[in-house]
Amino acid sequence: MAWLFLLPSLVLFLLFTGLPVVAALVISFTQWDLFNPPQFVGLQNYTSLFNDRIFGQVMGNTGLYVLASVPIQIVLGLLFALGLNRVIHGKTVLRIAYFLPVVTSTIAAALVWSWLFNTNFGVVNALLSAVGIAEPPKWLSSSKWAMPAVIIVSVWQNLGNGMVLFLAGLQNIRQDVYDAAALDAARGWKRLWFITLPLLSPTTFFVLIITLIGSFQVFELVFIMTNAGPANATNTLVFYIYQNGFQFYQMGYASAAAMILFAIVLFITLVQYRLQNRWVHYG
Amino acid sequence: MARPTRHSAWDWVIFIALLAGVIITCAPFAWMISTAIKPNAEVFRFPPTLWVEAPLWDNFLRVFTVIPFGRAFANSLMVTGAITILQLIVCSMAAYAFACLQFRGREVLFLIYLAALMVPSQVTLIPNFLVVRNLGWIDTYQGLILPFAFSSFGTFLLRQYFKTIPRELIEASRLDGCSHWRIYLFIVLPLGKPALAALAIFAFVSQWNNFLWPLITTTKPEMQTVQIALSTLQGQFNTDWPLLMAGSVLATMPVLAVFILGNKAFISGLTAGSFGGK
Amino acid sequence: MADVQLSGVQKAYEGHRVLHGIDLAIEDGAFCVFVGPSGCGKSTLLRMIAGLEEVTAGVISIGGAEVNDTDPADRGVAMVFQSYALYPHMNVAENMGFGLRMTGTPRAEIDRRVSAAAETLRIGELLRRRPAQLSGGQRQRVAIGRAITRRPEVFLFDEPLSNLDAELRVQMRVEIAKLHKSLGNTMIYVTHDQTEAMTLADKIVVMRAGRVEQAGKPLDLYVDPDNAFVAGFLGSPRMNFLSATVSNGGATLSDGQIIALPPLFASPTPGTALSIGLRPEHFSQPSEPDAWLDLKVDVTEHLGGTSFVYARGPGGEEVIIEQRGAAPEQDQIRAGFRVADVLVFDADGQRIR
Ligand SMILES: Nc1ncnc2c1ncn2[C@@H]1O[C@H](COP(=O)(O)OP(=O)(O)OP(=O)(O)O)[C@@H](O)[C@H]1O
Ligand SMILES: [Mg+2]
Repeated sequence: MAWLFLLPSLVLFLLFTGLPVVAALVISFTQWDLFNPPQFVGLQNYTSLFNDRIFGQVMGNTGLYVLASVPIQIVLGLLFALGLNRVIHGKTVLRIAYFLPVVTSTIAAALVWSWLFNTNFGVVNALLSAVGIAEPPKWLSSSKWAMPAVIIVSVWQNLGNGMVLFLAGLQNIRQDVYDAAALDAARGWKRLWFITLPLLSPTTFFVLIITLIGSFQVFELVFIMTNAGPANATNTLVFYIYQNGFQFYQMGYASAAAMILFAIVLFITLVQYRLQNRWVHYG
Repeated sequence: MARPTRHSAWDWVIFIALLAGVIITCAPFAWMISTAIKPNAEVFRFPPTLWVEAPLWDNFLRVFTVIPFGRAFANSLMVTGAITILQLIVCSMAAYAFACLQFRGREVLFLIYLAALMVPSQVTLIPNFLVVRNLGWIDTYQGLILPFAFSSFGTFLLRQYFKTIPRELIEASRLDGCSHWRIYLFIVLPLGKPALAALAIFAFVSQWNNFLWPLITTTKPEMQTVQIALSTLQGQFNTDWPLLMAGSVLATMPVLAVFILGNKAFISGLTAGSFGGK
Repeated sequence: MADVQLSGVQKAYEGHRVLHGIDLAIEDGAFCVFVGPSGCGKSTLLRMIAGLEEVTAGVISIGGAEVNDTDPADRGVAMVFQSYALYPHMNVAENMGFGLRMTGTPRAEIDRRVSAAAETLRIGELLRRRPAQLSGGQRQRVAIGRAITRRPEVFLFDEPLSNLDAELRVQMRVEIAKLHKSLGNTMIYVTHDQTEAMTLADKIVVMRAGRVEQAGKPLDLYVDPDNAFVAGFLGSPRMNFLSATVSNGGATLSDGQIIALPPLFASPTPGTALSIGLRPEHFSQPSEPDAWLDLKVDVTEHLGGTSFVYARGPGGEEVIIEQRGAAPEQDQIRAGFRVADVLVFDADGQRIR
């Protein structure tokens, strides 16, 4: 009986998630251009990846992107949530406003920001020169500034996600614990440090995991804003997978890169679960 | 806060920070609309202005003529709508089995479904592409729809909610002779409406914005979704900013409308995922 | 040690008033209990004393000093919450020592005071556990321990026992009484449970709808209530009320029977409506009954030592009477009492003495 209810999900799950995971691993051991039959090449794709100078650059870019955008997203998300939690009127409207970028399609967001970052006619540089910066960066066409621009947009787009989760976590903290803290002379910063942040730690943990995992998968921003350029300065892991698979038709090579992404995501998840007992307090 | 704190200076700082935050979050939207209705003469003016002196609505029409945007819009509605409905059906059936039925292997299977949440979609991208290609589904609706008809997240969300339905209610209907199908259709689904609404909005928003999959599985312009059409617009007219912005406004509107109307359900689904997910 | 004085204390939430001017003096070292029906404002009043709610109007002073604008932590009060409100991320010792830590007390002193409190409450072996690993009764002790550790002038309790099972409640009630005896602090205690109120209190404050109905010693309130509300609120089963009208010989009940009234200072004019209050135990073998009621019996409950007879009075009012030993099963009963025990209330429920 139960299996009848499960049948549709099982079929779809096996066809589009279960088998593909296994297949991805298998394909990563082959050389396959889609036109000729696949050839088993063992670990060759992985060894070439490690010797691939561009892949090294791609990993460096991805790492930089993650290390910059995740902490900023989390810290700003938390600060805004703490601020918003004190607001009494208009909380819903503010929450919607902060969340709008999250539901906006990344393609549209990336297009708008490409325009805002336009070197000659964009708003960003107009503001920069208004505050007296004589030679504002060339942003998307500069190999030095393209990545910071992508990071700024990613923070803009994803900030609301963490913020909404933090806000829900804050609202889950019971008022009576705050009352007890008031009597125990924990106010202001002390209350934040000794009561609020520890009690919020399960949320922080969750937000950290999903933000980390999500940011390793950055693709659309790069695709639209810079097309991985200039000179691969913003080429990231998922873009590289896409490029190898669907522009160079190197299915095996792309799959090996995808397995590395998978390994990174699994590793983060496992490490976080291991570490969480040190600093996460479940009530 | 029960006790009104007396740091009114702080409250001002927070208020101003929040307001600045809102301005920064919303400014790009304002700029998107403003550019979309700007005549070319105003677009390339320095310094740029938000206010448009002679608004021009043509760009919204032009989007539909320079590329088959109308067709793309219809495709997106069709694909997103179908995925949303299918996810509601498939996930709710699975969630019913996990929440309300006893069977061997229940916990294990559920764990497997949950573990799938950890698999980045890019890992299964190539094998899925091969599956769809071998089925001859490139440039078809089924190729765009079926890979997303099931969602682990949705199953998890619904199962958590269904579990809160009192067991006695289900047992009482069993005693009244209801079959599992009747219980599912007439008790669990109606009671599960809030969670179903959350999933529906969630699925709609994320599928409307889906990009990478339609990018690799569509080749013909008439099968493209809105996001793909928008990206080709960039490729062809990469300095026609008003046109690009008009396309962005159009591509963003449905999902913003759905979100603003259903923001409560959406956010409750999002946060339920986080609190259950621990 | 400190007394607590309230004068003209009011509370309004967004213009909606829930406390209408409370005047109250709680002596140093007293055990004062607030009772009253749900929603009457007990918790609100207690939280205002703690400083967790702002005072809309009036003055609260503790130990002679006005505290209206004093921070909760600086009022010398500690509170035990109904939900315990322990910090879930700290172990028992950290929970108990947190207040001291926040005020910069040296580590050694904190440890000393925590272990002293733990010893008093016999929770020494629980100090390293988290609240989630404790039973309800243990959590309750920790919550009390946290209050003791801070050595407050005044203890505040908001229904501290209501989440415990019946047996544990009795046990903790006794412990709280002992604690009051040994510490000698002022304690203010909110409860629904009149047994708790009667047994613990030096002073009971009966509240209704944001007002104090009467305040005084438990037995004074029980024997000599100011109004029908207080009379009915204290005592279980509750006091019986019979409607009557004043006549020359005393009071005429609805069936025409006339009963004598106790001597009153201001005899009401004949014809005014009255209400006659008699507690169930006033019917249990009074030594020399000088008045009788004829009642129709509905049900008799035998509790062993005593029985409660649920009956109908002359006007159909429900009347409960207590009888020593096993009451015989019968349809009619003639219950005797003494006129001196009768309480008389006017039509508004105010006591006529
Ligand atoms: N934050 C608040 N906002 C508005 N009204 C409130 C608030 N807190 C309490 N009230 C109202 O104040 C009145 C008194 O509430 P309070 O909690 O003091 O009652 P109580 O006597 O403690 O009741 P109980 O015995 O049920 O705990 C109630 O009518 C309640 O609805
Ligand atoms: Mg209360």
